[in-house]
Amino acid sequence: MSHHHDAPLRSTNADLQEIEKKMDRRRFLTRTSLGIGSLALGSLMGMEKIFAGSTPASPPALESLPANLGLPHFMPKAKRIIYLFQSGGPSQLDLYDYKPKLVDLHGQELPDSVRDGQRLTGMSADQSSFPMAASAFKFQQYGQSRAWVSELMPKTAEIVDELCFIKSMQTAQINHDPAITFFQTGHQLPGRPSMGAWLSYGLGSDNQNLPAFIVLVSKNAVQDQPLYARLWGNGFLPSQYQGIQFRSGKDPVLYLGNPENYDGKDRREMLDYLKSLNEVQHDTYGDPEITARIAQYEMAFRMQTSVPEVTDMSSEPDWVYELYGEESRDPGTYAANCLLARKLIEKDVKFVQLYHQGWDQHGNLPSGIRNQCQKTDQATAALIKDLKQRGLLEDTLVVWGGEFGRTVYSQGTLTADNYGRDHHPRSFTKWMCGAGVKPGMVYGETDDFGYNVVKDPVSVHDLQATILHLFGIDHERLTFKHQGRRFRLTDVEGHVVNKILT
Amino acid sequence: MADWITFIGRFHPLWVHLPIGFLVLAVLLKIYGDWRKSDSFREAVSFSLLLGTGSAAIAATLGYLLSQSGGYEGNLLDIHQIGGWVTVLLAGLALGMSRANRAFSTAVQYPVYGFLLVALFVTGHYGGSLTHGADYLTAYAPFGEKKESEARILNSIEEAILYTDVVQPILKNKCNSCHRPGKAKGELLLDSYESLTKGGENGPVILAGDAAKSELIRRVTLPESHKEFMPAEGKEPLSPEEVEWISWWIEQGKADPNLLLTQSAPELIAWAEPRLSIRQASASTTTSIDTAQIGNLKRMGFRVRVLSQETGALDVVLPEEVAQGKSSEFLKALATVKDQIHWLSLAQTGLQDSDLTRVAEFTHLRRLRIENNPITNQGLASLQSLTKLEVLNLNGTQITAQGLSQLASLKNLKSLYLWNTGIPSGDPSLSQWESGVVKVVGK
Repeated sequence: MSHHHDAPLRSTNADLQEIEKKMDRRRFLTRTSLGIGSLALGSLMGMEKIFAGSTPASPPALESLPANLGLPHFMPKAKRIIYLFQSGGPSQLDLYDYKPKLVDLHGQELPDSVRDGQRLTGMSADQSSFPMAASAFKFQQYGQSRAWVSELMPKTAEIVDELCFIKSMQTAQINHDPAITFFQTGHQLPGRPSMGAWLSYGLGSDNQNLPAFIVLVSKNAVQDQPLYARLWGNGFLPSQYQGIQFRSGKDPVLYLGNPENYDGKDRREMLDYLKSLNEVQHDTYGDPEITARIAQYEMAFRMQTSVPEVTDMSSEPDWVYELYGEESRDPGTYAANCLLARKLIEKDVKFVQLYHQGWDQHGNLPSGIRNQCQKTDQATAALIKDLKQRGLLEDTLVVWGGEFGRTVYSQGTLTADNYGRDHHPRSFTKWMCGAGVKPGMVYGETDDFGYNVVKDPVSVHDLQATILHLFGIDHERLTFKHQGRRFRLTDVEGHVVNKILT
Repeated sequence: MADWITFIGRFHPLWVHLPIGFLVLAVLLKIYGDWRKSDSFREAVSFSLLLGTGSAAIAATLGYLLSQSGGYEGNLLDIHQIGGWVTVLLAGLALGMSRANRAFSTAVQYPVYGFLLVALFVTGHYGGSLTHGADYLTAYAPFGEKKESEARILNSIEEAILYTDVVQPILKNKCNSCHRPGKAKGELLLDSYESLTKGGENGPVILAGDAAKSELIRRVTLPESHKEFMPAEGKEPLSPEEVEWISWWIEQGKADPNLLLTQSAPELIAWAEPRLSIRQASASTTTSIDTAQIGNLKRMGFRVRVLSQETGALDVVLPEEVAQGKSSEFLKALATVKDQIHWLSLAQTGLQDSDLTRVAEFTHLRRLRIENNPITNQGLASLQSLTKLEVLNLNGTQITAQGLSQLASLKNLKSLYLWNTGIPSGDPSLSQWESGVVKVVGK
């Protein structure tokens, strides 16, 4: 098929033509407000060339945003981030927050003075007793930093000198979905942009051929709590800033491949024509979502070649698979996703978000958490080692952790070798590592019960402010006006945790 | 009772605008009426003067009550107060003459109106000086000598003095609106080291070596609802960091006014550094970002990122799929922005030893990635000029231990990557860098 579109394109939609006629009498308004407004918006989004639209032969380059938004606000330390989100709420008491006094207190009631009237979840609030459970696992100190790590994480123990443990994380949410939503968007209710979308919007994309924000969800996890795509959504930001999920299997990104017998040239011609149609639409309505749509089609076109390239693992030598663990040969596992994350980072993808579910051990914690760690410990440590030797840890930030911690008291009956732990928002452990973060550091402290933070509390907004800071962004100045209010990732809170920065 | 007086007195700043309006209006009506030779304005003039005199008397009374709460500088206050009562008297005089049915000629009346205006403006000006500071009006005046800009401009962070450049600006920012010459609430001035050590009506506010016993720290760390919490009256409180650094200065710094910032805690330095005005090396401050230039580079396939809008520092990446082994041609294109490139990656682009002479011209480089290229010791010699280099990635190159000695001039180097180069980790050539330098070697 062949098209010749020398004549200016006009819509054949009767309604649209009707509107165009009516437009004449308010041409002035259209040109001065909508026209200039959408042009300004276009340049704000760095898409002048899409507007110009006269050179369809070369895919339009998305000029990066910073010059227009005035970002970064100061010299960044980090260029990219890998966020290893451990969904479900890993038990800090069984992994990193060593509480030796609990051995003597094992089985005793949690003192009321410690709980201090805190509301519990519906799952354990009606328990008649709250017996404290010491961890069933042995702890040991590692590295020069002498950080405590339990026997569940032997590989992570090898890299503690690269890590900065924050033992005093606190969140306001006690249930999974609001807590994850809070961590990823800065608000417990859905609707706000995710952190990756904010970074993508604020700093633009370094690699024109791949999305700035890519999401990988482990296929080999216990999927007991759901993850919704809105966790990597754009909220009210233009939609090209949302995260793109890569799946395992033949099609890493759905609907990206061409149908059979349909070659790339046809696709290009179709997209050019579609784009000019969309421009007609945009001239009429001035809706920024139309330009977002155009940008997304163009990105999808470029991803037709770039995604198969970057997800091709055939060039990785055997020692890499040995480092990340044998599971890394199976695409879609946590280990394979860690390896893919490194490859994406090497291509200058800004934000790689991993999710590994299944950390929600309400009962049978010892066996459940052992299983979780077996699937994640080696690959996590391998990723850090691999980034380090390649020199990528200089400008790549890695964050590990879940949405909240777990209670010191046992949910359900405490037996000699079994216990469960309920959700605990008051204290839990995360670690960060890489670009601009002090290596071999432990920040914050909890009490002897691991229940309350006694030193240097870090809120979710504090962590978000700190991450943005590492990217050269003042979290109070990256805002987007929506429904009459300027929103930001950290809402009205957040303090940069300067003490953990180099 | 004292509270009541203060409460009523505080209506003074609100009320004073009324007599100003009435009295100016009266003068304008008088002039306009006489100019139009119309009698119909006489009643209006009288009425405006009546309102003006009444409201001026109330304003002066409220002002007197406010002055009883103290905290205003005597000299300015006296002038303002006398000016206020003079205004009331002159307004009353004008009112009397106006109502005396032409008993007074214009030649007598006009001087009174003139004095009234002068008294009004003088009083108003001194009132403004009391509230906003004596230099409020002139600070941004387009004429006259400009005061030195707020922050001291430093040549380097080594020059920064903890008290002068960190503590004093915080006090100036958060405390000066009340504790400054002209207002001195609680008889306390916080505008200089001398006044800080002298203290206020309750004695000294800082105790060198003991932050907890220092009144200043106590006041700013009280619960915000506490009566004695400072800054008072809902003004912006000090941030936790600000309190911490002032405490540090008092406690560890023994409140020494000459202590250098670099002698303080690393966290403090990290916090303070971005807040100082440090003069940048001239080459990097003057370079602005040429978007057309960057656009050209991007069209060629470079990934270009602005690192800092202020200095124009750039992060440039030449992707391997773009370079396709022809890195030397691409390098020529970078010459136009060579002083702006702070981070550069030429990894796996087929970079040769001869190309490194061109890279050596990018003397502002902080981070350089040239891993996985056929580079040998010979090429490494060119990099000696990159004295600002902090991170150097030589993974997968053909350099050897001997070659490293050529990098001795890189005093700022913090990380050196030598993975896949065959240089063993215990090699003596690595010892030329201090132990703090990260050296990644071998597989």
